[in-house]
Amino acid sequence: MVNYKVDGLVLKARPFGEADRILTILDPRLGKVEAVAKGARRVKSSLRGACQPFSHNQFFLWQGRSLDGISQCEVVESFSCLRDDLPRMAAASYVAEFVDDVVRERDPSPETYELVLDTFRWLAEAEPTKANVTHILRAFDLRFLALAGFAPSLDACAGCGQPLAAWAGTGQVAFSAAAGGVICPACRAGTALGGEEGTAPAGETPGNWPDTSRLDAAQPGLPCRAGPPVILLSPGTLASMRHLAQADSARARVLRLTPRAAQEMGQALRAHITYCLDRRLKSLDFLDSVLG
Amino acid sequence: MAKSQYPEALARLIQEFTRLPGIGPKSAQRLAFHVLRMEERDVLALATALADAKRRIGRCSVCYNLADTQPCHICGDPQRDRTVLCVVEEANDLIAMEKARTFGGLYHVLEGALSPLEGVGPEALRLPELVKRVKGGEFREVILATNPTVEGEATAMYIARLLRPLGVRLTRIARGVPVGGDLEYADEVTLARALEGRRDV
Repeated sequence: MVNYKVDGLVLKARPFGEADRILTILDPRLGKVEAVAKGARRVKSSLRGACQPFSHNQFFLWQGRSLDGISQCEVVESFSCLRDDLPRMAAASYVAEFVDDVVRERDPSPETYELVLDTFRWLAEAEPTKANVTHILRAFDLRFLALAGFAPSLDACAGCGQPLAAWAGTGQVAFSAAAGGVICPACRAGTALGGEEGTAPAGETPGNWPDTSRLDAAQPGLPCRAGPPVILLSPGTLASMRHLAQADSARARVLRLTPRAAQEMGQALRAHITYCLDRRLKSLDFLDSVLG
Repeated sequence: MAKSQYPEALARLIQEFTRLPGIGPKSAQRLAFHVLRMEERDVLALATALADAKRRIGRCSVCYNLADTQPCHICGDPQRDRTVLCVVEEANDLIAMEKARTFGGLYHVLEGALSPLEGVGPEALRLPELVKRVKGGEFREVILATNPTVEGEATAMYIARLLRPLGVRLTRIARGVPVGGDLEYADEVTLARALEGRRDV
């Protein structure tokens, strides 16, 4: 039997069978690893405490035929405050669900690991106010999208590629999730939502888009066409987004996010992420209800 | 597909047994053969018990415990303390609490726990019913006895948020070292909790 070590963050720990849990662990060298913790739901199990989501542990795994198993584990950083506070827990769940959805198994990405670890630390340190949690999550969204190859285009029109400076005035700029970023007025007026061929997945029908009504309700003035809506971003919002997408964790933290920027950015990114994943993240409803 | 080696009725029995949790084809076969060896009256008793349980057991309209009477035997017991309410996730948690024999109050079964990752939101739980009960009842204290897991903690915190404005005393069950356990083998998280929740002797 081959044994190996995994040093990572628990993204998910779902109950399995009578008393087991299947853990989804994010390791910097191995990527996303799934492993079963036998008996981890029993009171007497020594794995129980460490098998909690969001904790950073060292695991010793044995190789199984279909699924590897956890033989021992030791807590490195328990992040218990991410589980003891509703807004933090909701935010960490969102991060975990997003990462779990995008990252493939055994596909190492040390950068993603660092980003999630940093986001958890930031969530743990910051006062869990609505403004702080929103700031942390938007910084996470933008940096993670970039790592995953889903970065929205913020410097040039996502339709025709013209640089922003060439067409944007001092007013608001349109952001289209279907096009994959900001779009110039010409592209927006032209083809449906300004996406050139290939920008929207083939076979996309209006019925596939799950959440138009919700986003439209928040922006009543927007044109309601098939597909995800266009969201208007003020220049300040766009600047903040660009800053967060490129910033390291220290610089991301010092940025001051105005409530308006946070709101516009939140809408644009939510539409963008829902479009990229082709589903709505389940933890969003809970996050919304907790942040109120 | 190859023709089944079993007579039809036996194949069907095995098939039905495999629906049960933890029962694979091999165990199902063993159980089915055992049923064939049993006395007919025992088999009939088993069958009636299965059907009866399914037909007669429902949820108590007050606490949502599994019950065959309305209200359930706990809600209807005049001996029980009607000023303390214990909130649990599932009916089996209630049974576990009852086995401890130290709690003499009433229960409220949520029928689940909040799980953002699985998309289980507050609307899936018996929360409005809980708030209504606490508003209308003469409870002095509400004990949050959800599991010490992320889902259970989140549920407890969520309930605390809902009930705090009602001015009732809210308590959370303690977490710590299990009785008969050895400190050396306790995990770090539990030990930290045990230390936080220490009390004067």
